[in-house]
Amino acid sequence: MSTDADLSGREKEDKERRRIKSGGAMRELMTKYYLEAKAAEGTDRHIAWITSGGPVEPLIAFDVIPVYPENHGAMCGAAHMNVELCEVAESRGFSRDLCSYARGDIGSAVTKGGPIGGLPRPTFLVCCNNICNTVFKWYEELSRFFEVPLFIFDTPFVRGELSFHHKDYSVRQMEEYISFLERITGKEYDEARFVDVAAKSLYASSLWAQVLACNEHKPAPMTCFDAFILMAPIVTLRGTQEVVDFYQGLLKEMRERIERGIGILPSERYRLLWDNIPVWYEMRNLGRLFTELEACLVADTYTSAWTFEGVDVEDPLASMAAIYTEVYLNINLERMAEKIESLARRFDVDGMIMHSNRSCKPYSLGQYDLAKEFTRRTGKPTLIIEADHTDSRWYNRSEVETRIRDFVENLLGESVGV
Amino acid sequence: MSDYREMWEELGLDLQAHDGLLEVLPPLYQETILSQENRPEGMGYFDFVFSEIHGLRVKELVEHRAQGGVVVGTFCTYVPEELVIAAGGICVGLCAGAQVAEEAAEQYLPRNLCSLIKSSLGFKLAKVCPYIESCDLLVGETTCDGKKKYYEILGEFQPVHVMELPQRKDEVDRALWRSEVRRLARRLEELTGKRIESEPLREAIKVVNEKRRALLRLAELRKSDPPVISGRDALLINQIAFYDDPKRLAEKVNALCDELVERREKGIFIGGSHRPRVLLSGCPMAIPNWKLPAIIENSGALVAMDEMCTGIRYFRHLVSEEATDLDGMLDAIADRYLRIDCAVFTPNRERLEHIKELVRDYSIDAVVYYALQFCDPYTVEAFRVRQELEKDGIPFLYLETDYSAEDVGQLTTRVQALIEMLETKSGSS
Repeated sequence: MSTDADLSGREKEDKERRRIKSGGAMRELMTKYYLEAKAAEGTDRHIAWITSGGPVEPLIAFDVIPVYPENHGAMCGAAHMNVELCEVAESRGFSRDLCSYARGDIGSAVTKGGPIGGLPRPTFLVCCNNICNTVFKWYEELSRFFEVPLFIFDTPFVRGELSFHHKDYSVRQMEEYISFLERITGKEYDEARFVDVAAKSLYASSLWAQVLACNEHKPAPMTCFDAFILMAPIVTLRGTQEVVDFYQGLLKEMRERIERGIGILPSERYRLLWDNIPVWYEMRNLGRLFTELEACLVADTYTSAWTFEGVDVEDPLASMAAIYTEVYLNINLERMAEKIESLARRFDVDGMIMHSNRSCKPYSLGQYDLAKEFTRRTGKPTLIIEADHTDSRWYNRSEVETRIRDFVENLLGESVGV
Repeated sequence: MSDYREMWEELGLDLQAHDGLLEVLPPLYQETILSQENRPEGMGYFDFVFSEIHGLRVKELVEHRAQGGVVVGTFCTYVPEELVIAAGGICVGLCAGAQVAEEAAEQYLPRNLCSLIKSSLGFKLAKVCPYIESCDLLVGETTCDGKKKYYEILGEFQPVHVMELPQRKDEVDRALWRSEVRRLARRLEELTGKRIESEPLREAIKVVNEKRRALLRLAELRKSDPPVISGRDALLINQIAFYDDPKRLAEKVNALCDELVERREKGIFIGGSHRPRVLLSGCPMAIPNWKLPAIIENSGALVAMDEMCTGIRYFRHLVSEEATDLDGMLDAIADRYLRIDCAVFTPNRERLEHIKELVRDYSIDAVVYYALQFCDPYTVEAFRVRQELEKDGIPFLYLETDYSAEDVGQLTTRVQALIEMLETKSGSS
């Protein structure tokens, strides 16, 4: 394994040239966010823990600090600290088959463990099942543990088009959500403020979509592994000006890279699509492997989940309700197949790698069908690897790396004729 | 069993694979059910129904369809049987309880999915279930993440209608569910080409309520200590209730209850001396999944009640019969089904209260929590059930398993340890 110390001066210079500079601004933004959130603990300021797919804009509009256990879980996973937190939850009786984000979060709530010493204590919780049903039971436990109120947003599963009465169900819950926030915060709903937040959220989301679209270019200016890191602000703080500023800066950098022909990899021979949540604890190793194989993960189904469209300022609550109901993990397989086909064509990929994620049923169920459908529609091969997003005990590195190597060198090598 | 091969062939079954399945069932039934001593005579009907599981009842379905009727298959207690009956249909439960064609199912489903879903798809893929092959429509529901997508995969093989089950129970959720019940009614009307009228619906409500009343009567008799019926036999009856003719079933259950009352009066019990009384709580046990009840009862305890979908959750609530018009009946049906306290609901206080109520009413000595591996709603909810029960001093044993037989030894050891502890406790008190 080579390290920076082994690199020649020229290689170091090249590596520095290819490094995404906005990473520093993002770390600064996220550090500030976590410091503020932790400093707010025990003050009059409300702190809400919310699921990653939950509507955050109302929280921002009510001046509540949103905190994301899943984002924290990713952080614990990347820091190789989630297994010990999972073990805490398991020792309390939670099944080892429960999502490792949930187990790690419960473990962290109990021990204040993890790279930032746990999350600030919530004053209430918001849970939306547009990403999975597990979050309901998980947040119910958090609600009991912290003895704080829980708002549940139940999004109907969308088959084909979102029907009128299902949309109405979501809209009515959005109204209930606002009433819940009014009760908790003692403030009245301010529609002008909400529209402003929704507009910023939409704008940041469109900037994020443009950032991701930059990877349509060859060579790609980043990999989706970079996007997994750079998505933190759009997940946690959309609706704020800081996030708009950050993604404006990032977009500018991506466009400059394209203009100057700077790709993220020294050599880009293959272009791949990634499906599912990252294997957080293995990003570095997998990143090295793909670089070595000259394979660039140019797009994925995960980061694009935060590219919302269609907020109607005339009816912001209803349009937000519909947007949150139709996220990627809450649509049927036919629509998912359309989405991956569209990504494959836009980003001109040579194949797809699907992470069958032991922790995430909504993401992993149907992948075999999707893989076949993807190949049928695009003629491109797929590889399914088995792992878990933050519980490394379910990961077999040598097996996964061998399969990826074989897939890229043999299958892709043949299909793209190199 | 008579020769039904022609019928099975016409239904498209894989006869060779199906023969293999039918060879396995009788010895399992003999070992688990028939080997019990001193069973009531009324169980004879249920033994017969089971012996004809892929025969006579399927023939009835075939004949029903030949006369223009429809057969609707379901996978959950949330699908209103009343609507199917009122539409001139027969409703059959399709959940599978045996490891069949798991490898084939894993071509579609990831490994981290519960046995119930994998097995249900396995039965379909292996073409060994005459019930699913007899169905004109399958009706699913959005109870869990696994099922949401499973139904879409199933839809590749057969027409499927999915009911959107809310996961909360507030007013907006009730409104959604009521509209879902109406949406199912319209789907059934499309299927049959006939409108669902109020009189047949009223009659259907009565028929299904009668089935529930009979099962409730049996449940009431299970409070008897010493016991008049085993947990395995009671489970078998509940399992059969999902696919047998509801009127006939009610009649046979009532006849059995009459016999049980008589036996109790004569001092005839199945267990002799007192045995530790266990409440089984958790995931459903579809035919022929008797693994855990058999382990518990063969280890010297009694399954006195089942807090599960193949237990009291299936028949606990009745549909109100007070409605005078079609709309009122549809609302009454929706409201009844929304009362079911499946673990997919959050919050789900009713379930905890009900478990505690059962512990009291059935003089329960310990709760054995049966969780299918990878079933998030029930595995997570186990945590709070345990806490609540331990607060009340009720012994609690959590068992996570699947449809394989590999863990029988391990489960037996754990159950025996529980029973020994209960017996020691009982002896010392």
